[in-house]
Amino acid sequence: MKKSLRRELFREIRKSLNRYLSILFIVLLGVAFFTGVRASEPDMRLSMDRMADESAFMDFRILSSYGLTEGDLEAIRAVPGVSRVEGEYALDVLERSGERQTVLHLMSMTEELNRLTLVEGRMPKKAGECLIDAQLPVVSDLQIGSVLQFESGTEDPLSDSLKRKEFTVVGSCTIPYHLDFERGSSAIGNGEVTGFVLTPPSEFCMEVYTQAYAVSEDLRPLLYTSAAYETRAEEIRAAIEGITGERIDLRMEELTGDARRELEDAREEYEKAREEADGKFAEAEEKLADAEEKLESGRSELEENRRKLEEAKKTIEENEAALLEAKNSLAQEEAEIGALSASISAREQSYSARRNAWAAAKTAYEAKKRELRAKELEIRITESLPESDARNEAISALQEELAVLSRELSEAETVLSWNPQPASGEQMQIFTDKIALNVRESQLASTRTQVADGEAQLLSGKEEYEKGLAAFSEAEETLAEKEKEYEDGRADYEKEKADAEKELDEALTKIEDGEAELDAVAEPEWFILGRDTVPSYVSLDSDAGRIGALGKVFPVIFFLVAALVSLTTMTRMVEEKRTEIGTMLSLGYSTSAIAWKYVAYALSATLAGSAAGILLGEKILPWVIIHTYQIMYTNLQVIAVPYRWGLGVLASLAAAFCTVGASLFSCLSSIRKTPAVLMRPAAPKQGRKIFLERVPLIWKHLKFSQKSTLRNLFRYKKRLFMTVFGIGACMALLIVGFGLHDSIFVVIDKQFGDLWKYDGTAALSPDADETEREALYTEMEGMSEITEVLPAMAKQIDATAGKTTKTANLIIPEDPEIFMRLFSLRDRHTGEPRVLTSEGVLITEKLSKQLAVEPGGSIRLKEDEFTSRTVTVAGIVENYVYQYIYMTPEYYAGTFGKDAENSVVYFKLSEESAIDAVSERLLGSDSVQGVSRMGSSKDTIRDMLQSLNLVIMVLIVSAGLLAFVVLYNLNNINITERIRELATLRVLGYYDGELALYVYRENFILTLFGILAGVFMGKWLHSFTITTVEVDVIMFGRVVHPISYLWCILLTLGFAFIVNFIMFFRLRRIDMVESLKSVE
Amino acid sequence: MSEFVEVRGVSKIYRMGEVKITAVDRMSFSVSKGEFVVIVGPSGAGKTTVLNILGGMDSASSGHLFVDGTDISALDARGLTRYRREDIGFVFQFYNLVQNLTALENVELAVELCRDHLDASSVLDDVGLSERKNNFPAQLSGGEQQRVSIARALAKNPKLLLCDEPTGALDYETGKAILGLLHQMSRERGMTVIVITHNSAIAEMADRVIHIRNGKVAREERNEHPLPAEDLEW
Repeated sequence: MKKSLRRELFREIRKSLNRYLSILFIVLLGVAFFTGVRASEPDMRLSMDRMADESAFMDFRILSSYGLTEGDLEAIRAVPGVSRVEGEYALDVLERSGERQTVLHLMSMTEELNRLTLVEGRMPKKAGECLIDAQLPVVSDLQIGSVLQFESGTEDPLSDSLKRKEFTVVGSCTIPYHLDFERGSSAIGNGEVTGFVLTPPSEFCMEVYTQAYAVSEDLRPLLYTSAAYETRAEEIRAAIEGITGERIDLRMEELTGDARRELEDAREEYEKAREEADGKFAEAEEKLADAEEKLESGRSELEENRRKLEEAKKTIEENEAALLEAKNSLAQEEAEIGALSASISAREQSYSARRNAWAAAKTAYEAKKRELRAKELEIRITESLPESDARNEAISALQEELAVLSRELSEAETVLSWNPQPASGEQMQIFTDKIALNVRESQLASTRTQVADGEAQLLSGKEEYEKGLAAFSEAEETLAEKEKEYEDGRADYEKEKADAEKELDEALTKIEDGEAELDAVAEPEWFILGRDTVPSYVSLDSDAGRIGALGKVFPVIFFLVAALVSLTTMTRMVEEKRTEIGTMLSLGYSTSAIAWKYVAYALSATLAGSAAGILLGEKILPWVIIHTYQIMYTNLQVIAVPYRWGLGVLASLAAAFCTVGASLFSCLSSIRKTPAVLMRPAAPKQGRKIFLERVPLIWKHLKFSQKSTLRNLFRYKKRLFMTVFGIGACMALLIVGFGLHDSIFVVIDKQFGDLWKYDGTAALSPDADETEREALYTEMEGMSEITEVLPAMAKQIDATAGKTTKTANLIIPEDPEIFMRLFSLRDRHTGEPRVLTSEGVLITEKLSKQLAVEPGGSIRLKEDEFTSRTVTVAGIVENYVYQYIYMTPEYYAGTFGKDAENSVVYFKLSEESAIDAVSERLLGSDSVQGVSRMGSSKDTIRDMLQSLNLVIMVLIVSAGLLAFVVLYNLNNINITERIRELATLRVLGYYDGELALYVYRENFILTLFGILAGVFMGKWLHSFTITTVEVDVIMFGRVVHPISYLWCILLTLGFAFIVNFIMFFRLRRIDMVESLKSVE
Repeated sequence: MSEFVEVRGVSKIYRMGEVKITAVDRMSFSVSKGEFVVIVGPSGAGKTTVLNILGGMDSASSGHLFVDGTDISALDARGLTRYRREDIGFVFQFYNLVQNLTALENVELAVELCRDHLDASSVLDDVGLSERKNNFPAQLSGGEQQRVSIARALAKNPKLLLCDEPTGALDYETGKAILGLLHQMSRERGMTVIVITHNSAIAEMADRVIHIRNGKVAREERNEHPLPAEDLEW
């Protein structure tokens, strides 16, 4: 490089030191902020790791449900990868000084691992001395010199675990296990551990260690939370896991071996006795069976006899009946024969009577007939006489006689017809009938003989039967006697057997009880926990994550503004140097030689700024942030802020790219013009009518100075854009800062103030049955301090919609009415209340967003591997902490097909201060597993967020600084650009104030535009930041309070005011002679 | 105090570190009301310094300046500003118009400042720019821009019109036209006009010519018969 050029560069820098420094500083700010905030997350993690390593903090915490023996420790020590192992005795105790009772966590001091840091006093030297938690003197009245009186919080006496109950405090200390104030919960007292107490292991008389700590040298060079650490730690964990089976068996043997053997003997004995008894019983049983058989045959013989007898009786009865019948028919025959013979003789008589009558009639008729015939003959003779009267008279007389005769004949005929001649057969018939009757009579005689015989036979049969019957009764009696004998024998046997059985069963029950008891001795379970289960380390890690998330957005904006400002500055510089560039070109300098100057100018400022920015930013910002976090993590004793060159190089390159790029761009676009054009002054920017002038209504009413201001605004469009963007960005950063504060604290105010109205939750013991639970509810309802009691089922559940699955808490309140008094269910935007009905479930807002479900949609709830059901979403409710699904018991029963089982009881107190007393009473109940207090949850979250608050302050201050630099720079450019115009105005007689106003009016309007733009940018950036920073369990508020906007506006205006005030001096110094100079 | 402008023993000494530079050395002259005066001298003679002091843009190190009976040299910064505002009209070599304002608005810009001003539009009519009132400076020629500049100075109705090389950036013909305009204005309005130039040809049109050299008045002369501007030649 030509020497003259280099010298020119140095001169240029010296001459325009203002501009040079402004680039340098803005780059410094941008780079410092970018690298600083970005480095904070890894620095926090590194500090945490250093802190842990320096105090030999455990990598693993090993617990067993039956404690750990020296042998267990030895075994762990032998696991490859494990370097050192130490056991610790620990228990929770109650300390009662005066009225107050505090729960303390008493631990044995460790020698090498988890090294304590003495804060005050000295180490224990004698027996009966102890160290206390350094926070105890602050939060309680325990001090060095206090004498602690311990009591057991459980049924087991303290002497089981501790040699003495009284300890003297000789010092206070911190231990690496606790970085923050949180000391965890306990199952005794009020359930809250206030602090820990350390005393030498010799003060304990426990048989086994409560837990063991282990470290691995392999893990020392690795950064805790790094993937490498996790991988290696998991390997070692698995190796320790590998020995647990063997250790558990050994421990089990120690615990239960003897008892088990005894029981085994007893069982063997029992088996033998059982066998013997069974043999005896079988023999007796056999004898009895024989007797039974004999009895049975006797019984069947008897039965046979009975049957025979009955048969005989039946025959006799049959014979009797037959005889009777025969007698009857005999009598009937006799009667019949009697009647028959009577009828035959009647017929005989009748026959002979009729025969006689006929014969008489016949004779009479024959006689008449002959008389007639005689007469007829006389007539005919007479007739044959000649006719004469006499004859005639004779004839007529004769005829008259004949007529009488004929009449008499017909009368005789009639009589004859009345007495017909009996048939000759009749007489024959009567004869044969008589013969037949005789035959029957002889038959009857023989029958009569037969009947008599039968009668005699029957009589003898009856006699025989009577004899048989008597013999049978005798046999029957004998059998009954034998049967009774057998029954007695049987009863004796049964009783004997039952007695023996009972004895044996009792023995067996005893054995089985013993066995069950042994089985109930659950296998000891080992838990191998890493650092990632230590609460304060976990929360610090997630805090680091939050800072990291902030670091993703904030510094980029910051950097962007810085880059833009330096870009404008460089562009302006090249524009100013137009003539010079032209001259150089005409002198024959090459393009690159000319560009070099500007590139070198920008690059040197940028590099110097970057270097300073990295050096300051990477040290100061992480230090400030970690130091801020130390307010909460008081025991984080190490702040490690190494340089992270990768980040630095990245930021410097980006900054250099922006500034060098800008200067190259404007430089090259100038150089491309011919020198002649460049050496002439740039054609002044044409004045132009602006849009507003076409609206005469407005334009006419503006004052002249307002018109000129408006024209100027639109004339310098680049400056307008830059200023609006610059101020807007600062405003946006401020809004994000304030907005984060609003969004975060709304969680506490709304969640704990408006939404959750209960004061605590009692977790029900799973062992408590329905009656015990009911009793607990009644007891709680009876407590005067408690105003509302709500049993509910609370359960973690997986909720799925589409392909997204989120874990949420399912709450099924027993009484939705009370539920709605303890939980505000409402829409976040409208504040409209939502009602829990059996139509569907209510879900919290964030869950609905994550699952993308609207009211009316449905989600699938998976209770366990086998149970999942689809439910309808009835509504969405406001909620910030955790995610919930609310459901009525009816709806649960309807969808899941079983009744909800309560697992917690929410309660509300008449006054918050009653929580200690209530908590203690509830913990005293067997049905209660634990009590969580609303107040302490609120404090925990408040503490957690408070620290973020301070970080926000850092952000706000930085944003303010940026606003300042941007405004200053832009104002400076503005004045430099218009120096001639301003000098002219001074010559024309503008007072200082008027001149300032002329400039400020524009600035003010630009600032307003910037603020307006900033409001929108800030709103957007805020919601972007919130969603980036947000974790799954918390929904931050989405709204920036109007008062925050007001603060941001006031701050921005304040910055603008300060900058303008400084500019005022610059304006006053403008030399009027400038106006006489020619245009450059 | 008979004369309208009276410069009495005015000196201006610049200190640059150890070095003292005397730009104006005990200079004295006077100008009557309504006169057209040309102060002429070579580069470095102290013309600009005199102009600065006359215009209230700078104050004298010693001596007195009276304008219309007021001791300008006794004024403080604010007093000087008021003096510039109320009593002085200034015409620049490079016109110094505000680029973003139209011709009319540029005049109005000055008019706004003083109570006893003229109508901006009619002044522009007077300088012959009736047709171009709403044009922006960039749309005007150099002569037209200088006319606007003169109109701006006149509109304030000043006691004293100061012109710094008014033809310096203009071509021959236009320069003469501008000088003619200045002369005309001086005559018509009885305005006291002081023109500062290195061009001695202009001196011929002045009522009074003050030649300065090395910070002193070398010669002062009165023209009984000043030439009209169009007859000047250089």
